[in-house]
Parts: sequence; structure tokens; C-alpha cells
Amino acid sequence: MAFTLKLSNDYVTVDLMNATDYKVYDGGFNIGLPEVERELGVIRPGFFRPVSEIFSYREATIKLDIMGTTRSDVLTNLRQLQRMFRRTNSRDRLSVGRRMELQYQWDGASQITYFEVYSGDVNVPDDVLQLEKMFYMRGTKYAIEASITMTVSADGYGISVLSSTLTEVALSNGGSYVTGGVTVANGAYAEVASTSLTGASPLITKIVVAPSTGYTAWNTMFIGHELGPYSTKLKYDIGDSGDLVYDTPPGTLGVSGGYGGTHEEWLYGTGTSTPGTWANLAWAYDNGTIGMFYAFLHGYTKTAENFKFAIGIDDYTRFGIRNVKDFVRPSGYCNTIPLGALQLPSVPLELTALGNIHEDLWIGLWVAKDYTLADKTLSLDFLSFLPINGGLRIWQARTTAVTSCTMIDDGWAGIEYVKDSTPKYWTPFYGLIEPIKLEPGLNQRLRFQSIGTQDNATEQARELVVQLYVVPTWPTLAL
Amino acid sequence: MKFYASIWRNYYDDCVGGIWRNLTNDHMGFIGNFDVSQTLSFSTQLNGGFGTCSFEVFLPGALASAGYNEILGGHVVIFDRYGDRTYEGRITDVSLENGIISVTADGYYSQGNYIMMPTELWTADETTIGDIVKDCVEYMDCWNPTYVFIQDANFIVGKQESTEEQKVNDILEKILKFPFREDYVLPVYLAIWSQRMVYLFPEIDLDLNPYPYPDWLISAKSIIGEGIGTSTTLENVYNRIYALFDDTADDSTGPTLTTAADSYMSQYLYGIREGVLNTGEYGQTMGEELRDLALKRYEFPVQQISFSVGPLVQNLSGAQAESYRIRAGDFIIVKDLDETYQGYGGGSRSKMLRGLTGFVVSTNYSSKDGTIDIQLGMTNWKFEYQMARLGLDGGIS
Repeated sequence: MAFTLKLSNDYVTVDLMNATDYKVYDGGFNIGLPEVERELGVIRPGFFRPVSEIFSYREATIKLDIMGTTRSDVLTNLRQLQRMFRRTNSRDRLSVGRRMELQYQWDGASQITYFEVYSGDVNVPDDVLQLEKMFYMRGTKYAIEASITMTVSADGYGISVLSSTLTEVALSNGGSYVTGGVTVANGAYAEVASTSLTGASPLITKIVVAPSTGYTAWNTMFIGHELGPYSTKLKYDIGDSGDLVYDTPPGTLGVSGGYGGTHEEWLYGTGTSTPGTWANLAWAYDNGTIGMFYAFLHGYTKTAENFKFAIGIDDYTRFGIRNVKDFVRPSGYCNTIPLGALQLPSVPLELTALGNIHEDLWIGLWVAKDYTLADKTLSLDFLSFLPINGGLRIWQARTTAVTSCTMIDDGWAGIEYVKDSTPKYWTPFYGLIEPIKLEPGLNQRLRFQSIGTQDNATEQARELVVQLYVVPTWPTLAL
Repeated sequence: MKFYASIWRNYYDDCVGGIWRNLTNDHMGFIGNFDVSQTLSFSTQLNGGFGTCSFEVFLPGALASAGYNEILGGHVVIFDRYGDRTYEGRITDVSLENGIISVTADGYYSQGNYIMMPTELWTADETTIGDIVKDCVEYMDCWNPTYVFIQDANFIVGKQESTEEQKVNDILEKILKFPFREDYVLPVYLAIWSQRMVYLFPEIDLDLNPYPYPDWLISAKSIIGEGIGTSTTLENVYNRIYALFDDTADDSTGPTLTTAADSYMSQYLYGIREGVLNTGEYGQTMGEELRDLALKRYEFPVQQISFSVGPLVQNLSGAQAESYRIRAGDFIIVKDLDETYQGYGGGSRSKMLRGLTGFVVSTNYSSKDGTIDIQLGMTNWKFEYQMARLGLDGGIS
């Protein structure tokens, strides 16, 4: 392919290299790198870590001749550019106008890189109306010198900014990689191969989720983005003696006194008689669970609202909790209780003879009960972890549970919506946090944990069909 | 760091839900989810919990006007990228300029400034702090109606007559000046955190040996700016104290000095510094008790400290954590400056060597530079309280 430099707003496309209407000077195109704001943190002397990296837009300039067979043609071509930029500029200020892109391809490159143009101007010399400038000719064409200055996106994209057609990537749920959708059970994953993820910057995604055979309505959907190496143990049973190493019984807490109790630090008076106490459950921490997770507590039955939960990890001598202010209250309508984010040690620690990561390291669950409400019991099935070291996306149903429809979370268009005919009049869910972006050139997984009002078995059996579409991005140019 | 402001229209009903509202309730009130990573700042404080929060939202053209009109009074939750609730409050101020909507929110404790309490609620002589706090929690519609985290603050404040113009927070600020319990004389604080749950708790007792495990460990290298920038002085240090009492029940003696109480470690470090505490007309026994409390209060320099910390700290497990998680009410140690942070130092020496250890009374975080300003509170005011309760001025000469 030859060198390409075009501006397009999906109504008009201007070829700045056509040598008929526009001619870019040699060396006349300059596109800078985006400004970067980086933030470093330190947790102990000598140990620094980047904690954020924010790319802002970049500046681009083009020096060119605007040409025409007649002087009138020159002015027509000039006004063409001015109209395009005016429509784009008004888009930011007034929310009306057109999106615009810069199409750029090196001579010999395999594909075009697309930058979104946020704003721009066409500049001509102050003396453009002087006689010698008006009648200046380059060869057989009238011409005026001009320059274009633009503010463009930090990233270049692999598809047109004006397009809504993304590239579908093959997914695996443990078997072969296929397009067209893979079935994912509740708590399970869809994996995308590194070879499908081109580009050099995080890829924007469009996630499409459709009902499968085992589908039932949900109220909240958590999508965890996991970068490898993958965690191997994400489920800790309550009743399994190999997991639960402290406290009894295997699933039921009684109405008075609580269990364990030797590690409580507080007593509190919440009722008219017996003070409530903390009860603790603890699981032996496993080397197969490393990194950042969102924790869920799964009950055999729906948990009464007078229980509160907090999760943490701590050593043998004290059951600490992640943050004492981060207790959560169950909805009373779901078996599954979201406990919040939990960071487990980021690298495997030294193994002991017991085969656990550290014989004194525990995953602890604190349970508090409000004795002012009627006595209740609770029954717990297991604890699960959703890996979120790559990111987290949450879908929340607006009204009643999201029934059978195809859900689309389009990070490219910046909108969440449904595809099917029912419900017709509104988007039944909205997204929180930010749309998932995938790392280029790396195997990675999206894991889905949904919460509804069904019984425990039905909740765990919920199935989805997942498809994934991406937009490759580059910080500079695709080659 | 990444932060997202999620805004719902105003609602006063019961805030049930593991993360969200009651699942059968209408989520049609959701307005939007905005990336505020560059413009967020928020504070935490005692009393109150979540303080003020501000951020900016950019919406083009007509959307800006629509957003400006809709969000005043709305419920805002600031999530971090892990889905944790970093801040929760109600939007109290909105301004619009050049398509940028500037938003200010207040934590839900501030709503107590706008609700008047019914009169004559607490008529029993044995009314405690806990009784009053629970009644306020029940009365405030926008606070989570749970008592689970209201610790047993059984200090008796007695009958409380609320005047007609008294707001909820007026009564709370009044009773929270008293100590936590008769047998646990430390300040008590109230804070409203995630899901609007109300927490009532005492200040950490740093006289415990070893003192409690910290919530956060901070590296001295992450203290920014000019460092801690505080000064300390021997001006108010006394390590040999006598009480001067004049027992009016005994006419045969006049003003009398008790025997001295000594802090030998303080004397070793700073030399002997003597002081006399006037305990007025109370007898010898009370004088000696007050003398001992005064010694604890004055034996080492005590100060309030403010400093700023960068983006990363460590949690108790040793894993790195973001500094914006530090909240008022937390207990922190700057570990490079405190050789006893394992908590096994003994007695006075451990307290003396606490380079920078304390109870957080307020924080102020800014996402623009990723720093958090921390103010540590003064502890061990048992002595001041007791003197005030007895009507004495507490000065040592």
C-alpha cells in the first residue's frame, strides 16, 4: 500500500495526498506522542511501583498546498476542510456534529491506523488575499499554502472510528477456541488466546451475552478480567474439612453466642439482652489463589439481613479483616453475598511441609449478627473468588431481574443495551466501573459471576453464551 | 488510580442490599457512571465518617444542562477499579460552566444537621451514649437502621432534654464529648461508612502493652512534601509530679503535697522535671489518682501530627494497598520510624519510641496527585477528662 493520509467524517472523505486538490509537503506531517502522567508509589524503601498511567491526547500538524484548476476550486477545497472541522469542533461543545478520523498508513505498512480527531483548524497565511498569493500556481494548478492543526486521540485504532463493526475473537471455555459463542456456567470463564489480540495497547471490547439452556434471570453480573498465570483454587467449601480449618459447624451458625470467639475484639450491645458477638470462619489459604479477587459468599438459603459479613486475610495470631468499615449487608433476596475486593499475596509464598502457602495464613470471614432482630440462622455453602487482576465490570439490572435477552456491553460505542425485542422500551441493565480492556498478546480470561433470586442449585446452574469483539489499538502506528 | 462516580436520583428508603438497593426496588433512578479519576477529592472525619467529596463531570452540549438539573440531591457512590466503595454521600452542590459540571457531596452524617429531634426523648437518669445513638439511628431515615456496629458505649449521660430547635447532630455532638465507658475512659466516635451503616467505637488505647495491631503500615519514604514537619517540645513534659490537695473535711491540715509519682524513663531521657498539680478540695486518695493520671499525660511529649502520604501503603497482611483506603478511625504506624511496630515493646519505652503511630482523626485524598493528607489525633486524655469532670483546670505548675 502507498502512503495514506486522509480525513473522513463518514460524509466526506478528503484525500490529502491526491495531488489534485491537496498536496502534503515532504516532511509536512507531524504527529506527536501523547502526554503521559505517571504516578509512582512506594510501600517500603527502595520498592517503587507505578500505580497509574494516564495518556492524554496528542497534537498533529499537516503542512500542505490546497490546490485547484481554478481559483474557485481552491476556495472550494479550503472550505471543505473548514466545514469538516467546524462540524467536529461543535460536537464537543454542543453535542451535535460529526465524528472525524485521521487515516494514516506508512508506505509498505499492512494496515491503516485510525486516530479520532477531537478538534482542529485550517490555517492560511494572513496575506493569502494578496495578488501574488491569489495567482500563485504550482505547475498547472492554483495553490495556497495552508496548515492543519489537530487534537487527536492518544491511541491509534485498527478499525475506523466511524465503524461499528468490531472483530470477533475466538473463545474457549476449556475446550477448542471457537467463534459464534461459548457456553459459560455461573462462575466459569471464557478464555481468549493471545494470537487473537493484536496491537500494542489494551484492546477495547464489546461483550455480548445471550441466554443459554440453563439460563435464569439475574440481578447483578460481575465480570472479572483475569491475566495469567491463572489461579487454580477459587472455591473454598464450608463443609470440606480440607478447606475450613477453624470453627464449626460446617454450614450453620446458631442463634446465640456465636462460634469460635477467642479472637473477637469487640463486644457490642445491639439488643435488649444478649450482646451480639463476632463469629469467625477461616480457611487454609492455598498457593493456587494469588492476586486480586472479588469475593462471594454462597449460602444454601437466602441470608437474613441481620447478619453482616466481612472478609480478610491475616495471620494465625489474630483474625484481622480487610477493613473494619467494609462489612456488607446481604440483600435478603439472594443466596450469594458479594463481599468486596480482596488482595491475596501477589506472589506464591514459601511452602511448608503442610503444603499450604503458610501454615499461619488464613482467609478469614467475620460474621456479625444483629440481635435486635428476630433470631435467625444461616447456612453457608462455599466461598468463591472472582479474579479481577485485569479489571472488573459490573452489570446491574434496573428493575426486576434481567430476563431472557441478549445483552451487549459495547466499550467502543460506550453504551450498554439489549438486542432482543423484549424488553422494548429501555435498557434493562447498566454498567459500573469501566468496560473491560484486554491486554494484547496474552492469553487471558473473562469470568462471569451472576447473582439472582433463584435457589442455590439454580443459581449455580445458570448458563450464558458469550461472544467477544475487540478493537486493536496502538500507541503509535500499526506496521 | 481509577475512580468512578455512580449517581442515582434521590431516595430516602431503606438502603438494603449487599451492594445495591433492595433488589425489588426500582433502579430506573440510575443517572450515570462517570470516570472521575482526574478530579476526585474526598475527606473522612470524626465524627461523621465520609466527609465532603468533589469531582467534575464533562458532558457535551444539552447533556450538560440535563445532567446539571438532575443530579442535585442525588445519591453518589465512588467506586474504585476493584468495585470497592471509596465514598458514599449525597450531592449538595452543583455548578455548570463550559460543559463541566462540578459536583460536591456530603457524607450522610451531615444529614443530621437538617433533621430536628422530637423533644423529651431521653427522660431516664440512666440514659447512656449508646441509647441516644441508637435512637438517632432509628430516627434518621437515610441512615441504615442497624445497630450491629454500635459498640456498647454505656457511659451514663443522664436525662437529656432536647429543645425544639435542636437537630440530631446537635444532640450527638453533645453526648459524644463524654468518654466511651466508665471503665474505658477514652474518646468515643461516630462514623457512617459504606451502605450508610453507623459505627460507634472508642479511640485506640495506646497504653495497652503491646498496643493493638495497626490497620495500615506506611513507609517513611512515601511521606511526601517536607516530611512530617512537626516539632516537639519539652515545655509540657513533667516526669515527677506531686498533687497539692486541701481536704476540707480535715480542718487540722492545710494544703498538703502527696508523695511524688515518677516516670523513670522520662527522667532518664529528659532529666528530672517536677510539677505540682493542684487538685483542690478533694482528699488525698483523689489527689493521688489524679497525680498518677497526670504523670501518664505529661511524661512524654504529646503532639498532633499532620502529614501527606503517596499512593501506596501496606495493609496488615503485608500486601500493598492504596492509600485512599485510609480512613478516619484507623490506626497507622510509620514503620520505619517505629521499631516497636510488632507491638512487643514494653511499657513506657514502647510509647516513647513510637515515632509516628497514631489514631487517624481525619483524611483528605486528592486523585489529581494521588496523595492523602492524614491528621493523627491526640490520645490519652483520660487526665483532661477527669479533671474537667471534677471541675479542675488541670494545669501543672
